[in-house]
Amino acid sequence: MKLSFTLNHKKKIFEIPPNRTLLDLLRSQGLWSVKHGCETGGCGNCTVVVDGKAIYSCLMLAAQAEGKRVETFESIRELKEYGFLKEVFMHYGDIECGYCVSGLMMSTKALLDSIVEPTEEEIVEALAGNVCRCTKKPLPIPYIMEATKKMRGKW
Amino acid sequence: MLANNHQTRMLSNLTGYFRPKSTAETLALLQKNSGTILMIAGGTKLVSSQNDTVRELVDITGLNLDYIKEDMGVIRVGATTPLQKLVEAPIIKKMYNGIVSQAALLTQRSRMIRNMSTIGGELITTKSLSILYCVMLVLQAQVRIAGGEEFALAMNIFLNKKGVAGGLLMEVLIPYIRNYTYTGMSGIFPTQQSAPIILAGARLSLNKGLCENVKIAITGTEKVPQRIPAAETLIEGRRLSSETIAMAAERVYEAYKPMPDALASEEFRKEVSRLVVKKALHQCLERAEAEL
Repeated sequence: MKLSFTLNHKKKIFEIPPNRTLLDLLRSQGLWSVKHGCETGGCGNCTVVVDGKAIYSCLMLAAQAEGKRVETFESIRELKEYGFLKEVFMHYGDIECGYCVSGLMMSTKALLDSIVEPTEEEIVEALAGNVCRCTKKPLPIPYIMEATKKMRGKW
Repeated sequence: MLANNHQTRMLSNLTGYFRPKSTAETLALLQKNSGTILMIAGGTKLVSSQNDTVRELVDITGLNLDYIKEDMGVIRVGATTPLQKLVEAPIIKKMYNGIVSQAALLTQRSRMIRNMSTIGGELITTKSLSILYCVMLVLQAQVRIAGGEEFALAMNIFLNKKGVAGGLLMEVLIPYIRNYTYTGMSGIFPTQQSAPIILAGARLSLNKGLCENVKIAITGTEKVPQRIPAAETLIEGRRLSSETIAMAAERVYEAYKPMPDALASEEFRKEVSRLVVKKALHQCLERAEAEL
């Protein structure tokens, strides 16, 4: 079946079997930030943003993305403002293997796109679906809030 | 790391995907039901289900059923409204002490799933521990099926017709009683991320200090959550107090027929049913006292 959606700000057309997940399709396009994890909606490693909302790409058929805007970590990786957030996760997140970071970043992006200055509670709730298997430590919430302020030019 | 040609094998026999633009078109597609055609909206349960029977999917997200509106004292929620909208919508957060918002949040702890999972999908796939269904029971919600019929949300009729043959779920209708009406909900959760072992919901109104329109429901029964009419009748027409709450909880304990599963035994659920019902009713009492 034919499928068309906007991927990282560029309109794309694909020919796919109907049972292909969005996760598989994105990785077939060389978007390796979208990770295979649990593939059952439990870990968040496959998180992407679709029409402004963070979703698990392992639980979405590619066909469901017809006409939508899909964004992966590759679309924000080089942006200056997201550099503050990357630094936070790298330096304060106790990240070990790094596998979870792109999913965390996309969940945070979706949150910051909808709430200018989220509260601690809002950050915790928004990132509850992203699991760090290596460390299982709490997220560096104060540093995320600090990075948010820097992103908005308020630091 | 997996090789770049790895593909997941969900819905391995799926060959057709339809996107109808009207209810009539949808029903016509579903009429060809040979047991291998299903509807999809959010799809979070379906896509991970390893279902090898389904051959065709009918995507109903093009039917404009994603809405929340108030219409003459009834809150109408379209069937493909994502759970996250129930968490965020101001009118849902406000009504009935926010019990529907809270139920949506507890139903799926991950925002990523709530962004896709729909109220219709959750109700159609209701099982014994469904929080949302339990809350809809105490709020006396009804459903509208394509064709204009309304069923009371015992939902047995609709669910027993296995969804597709029963028609297309269009919207959920929640009567909104604004004055002197209070709700409560209490559950026991083994972990923050898991389904509750047991959960009770309650709603009642006060008329000159006396209870009316009392509804109490509990999860962990066979098939779907159930109301306990014997306990409701006990409180109806009485003042709400610790004594009447204790009596109602005892009546629930007597009437409750739990089922065992991996989370809890029948005996455990029965034993703690009093506790969760008491807590739910005490919440109603506290809210009433705070307001009056």
